[in-house]
Amino acid sequence: MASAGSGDEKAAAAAMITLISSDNEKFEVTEATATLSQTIRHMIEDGCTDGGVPLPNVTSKILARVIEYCKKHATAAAGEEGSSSSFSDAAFLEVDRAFLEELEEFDDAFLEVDRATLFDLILAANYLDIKGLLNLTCQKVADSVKGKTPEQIREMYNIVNDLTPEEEAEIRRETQWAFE
Amino acid sequence: MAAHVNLPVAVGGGEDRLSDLPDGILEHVLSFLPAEDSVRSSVLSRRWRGAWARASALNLSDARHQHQGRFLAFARAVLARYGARDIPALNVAIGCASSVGPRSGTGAAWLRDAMERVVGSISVSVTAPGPMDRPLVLPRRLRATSISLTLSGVLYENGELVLPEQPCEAAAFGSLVELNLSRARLQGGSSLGEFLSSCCPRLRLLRLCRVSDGRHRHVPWPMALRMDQLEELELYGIESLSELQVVAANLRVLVVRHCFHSLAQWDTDTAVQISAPRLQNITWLGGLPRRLSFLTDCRCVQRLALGFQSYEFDGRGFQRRGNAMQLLEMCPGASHLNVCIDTSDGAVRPTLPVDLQIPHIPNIRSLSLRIAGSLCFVDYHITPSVFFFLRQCLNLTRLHIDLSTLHQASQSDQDHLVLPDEYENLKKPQQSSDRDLWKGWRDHLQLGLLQEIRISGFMGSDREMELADLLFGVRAARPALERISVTFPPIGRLPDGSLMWGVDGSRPAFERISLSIGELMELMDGIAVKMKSQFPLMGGRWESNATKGVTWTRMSLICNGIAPLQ
Repeated sequence: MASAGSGDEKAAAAAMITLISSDNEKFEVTEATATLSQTIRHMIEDGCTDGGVPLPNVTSKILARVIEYCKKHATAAAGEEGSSSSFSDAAFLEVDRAFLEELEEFDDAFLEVDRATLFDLILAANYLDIKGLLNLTCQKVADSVKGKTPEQIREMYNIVNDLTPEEEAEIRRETQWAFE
Repeated sequence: MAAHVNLPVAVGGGEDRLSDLPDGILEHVLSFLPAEDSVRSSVLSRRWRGAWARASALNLSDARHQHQGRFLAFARAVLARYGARDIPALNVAIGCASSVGPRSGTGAAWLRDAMERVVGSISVSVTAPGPMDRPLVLPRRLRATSISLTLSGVLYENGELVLPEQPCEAAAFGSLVELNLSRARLQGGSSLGEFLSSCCPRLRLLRLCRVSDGRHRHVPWPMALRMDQLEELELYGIESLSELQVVAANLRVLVVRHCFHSLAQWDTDTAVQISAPRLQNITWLGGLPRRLSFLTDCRCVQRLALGFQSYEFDGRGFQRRGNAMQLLEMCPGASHLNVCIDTSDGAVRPTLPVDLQIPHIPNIRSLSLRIAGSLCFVDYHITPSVFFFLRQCLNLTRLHIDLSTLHQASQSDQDHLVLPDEYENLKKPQQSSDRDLWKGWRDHLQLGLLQEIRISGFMGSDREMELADLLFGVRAARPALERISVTFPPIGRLPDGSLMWGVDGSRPAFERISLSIGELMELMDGIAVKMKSQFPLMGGRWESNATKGVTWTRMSLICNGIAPLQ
């Protein structure tokens, strides 16, 4: 995190990666941003990123959001540069509290999306293997069903109950202990 | 976490994106649910039937089982019906001390058996207002890679943990990479040091927090760790150690917080001996033992984070032995120094003689200082202690001073912000001799390489303006300075519209302060104007950023099109 703007712009430019969405839109990102995705990291390691990385499963709309997430979190990773500590509070003097708060705020705001986008983000995070984003989005879905009745959940997510009344009664019997 | 979920409801008859998720992801979603919700999802549709039994984590908590014994039956049922013998991850939260089982007989045997099935991470966390009321017996062998145990919900009462007898079976805990042990009183045949050194050969991360040894009640006890693979070690609040010996060839990070200088150790000749040739990062808060030695040299140590009490900067009482200054001498190669000065002891006026012999630390490039305390109760003179460190770090390039706790009413009430005006009139005016003293310091402070100054939590009180003057006052020569960033404490708005300030953000901040957002903006604007007029630095430009703060950027950087720091 040395002062930006000295001579290392060239080096930074050299480490740019082009990502190509399913609708053929190109996104230029730094290697640090791109490698939050394990999938892309492996491609870079294998040296197959010349001419851009095609991502046929991700639309430009979703890819733009994913990149937004990666950019923010790559900066966060850089902020902890060198301090390899995984103890969160051990590093309390190292990491700016304000920055962590900002990151949390970012995540909260990032999740303010409609449900279709949320599921697209989940699938993209899974495909690109971005653990933090996958956890964040799956957690959001889990939070939305927590404490809800099966009926409420079905309605919320358009889940069609294809169980026969007998089957449903049987399952309820089997899991009676969880409904008490 | 009070996650308020307000996803827009899907508009009529849409597709079922949730059920369409691939198995792996569906099971991942289930792993974030309490077991009750996870099991109940079986009844949603055919797709969901039994899906919970493949979830990548089981979360058991007694929170929804008020009646004693209910939780136990529930937990047993979940564990019995989970699809495979191997459990990827198990999280258990105990809010009621008697939830884990009957006091008689095998007690928490179900928990021990469940732990044996885990192949990934185990977390057991007691949040009850006391320790778990029976011992947790560690299995003789475990396959888990990570274990985190907090055995009591209160600070000064530990839950019992029984360690396996020695000698342990070969590789009994051979997969264990990370161990986090908190509020546990250790029982059983072997000492903690023996257990860790012999049974956990792969351990890379070890964190011990308020752990006591039940075999040495009320008597300080020794701990010896010989762990080849260990990379990070944190000891926190273990106030009954007599001796600590660490032999760890791969240790990179050492954190010791508040482990010495307790009443229990009063009479003890406390000693710490460390052999860790690859150590890079040391954090030490609280007292040092009477004897501290590194058997390997500390030239690799790059980062130091040290905590001081403000009385340690009182010239008369200042001693180099016994405080963290000793570590500065031991690690002359360090390039990053983080310092926290706690002013809660009430010593307000650091009076270090200017000619005091202090260790020189010419390699420090980045210095970060946090002054913790509360200005409204303790009128702490910030500038002298900052000066103390600055004159030792003459090759500094980056400086960060964090004042964000100074305006809190107290450490525990972080949301109650006290504005400078409210206490400024409580104290007597500064004496002019004080002013002359620090102005003299400012003029003699040579920081020719300093490029970046960041002050956070700034609210423009006299003490803070004095500090700003030391750092970049009119007569301070800072030839290399590129940027100054002065930020106010963050202000946010809660969903109910009230203003929020502080760390956790869950409660309204200004409820006891009759200030509207407009008045607050005015106050911040006033600080910005004051900064610009009092510090008309040459060769650059001040810019204010509404409620965030003010920044100064050197002209040449602006011309190169580089945006000022946020």
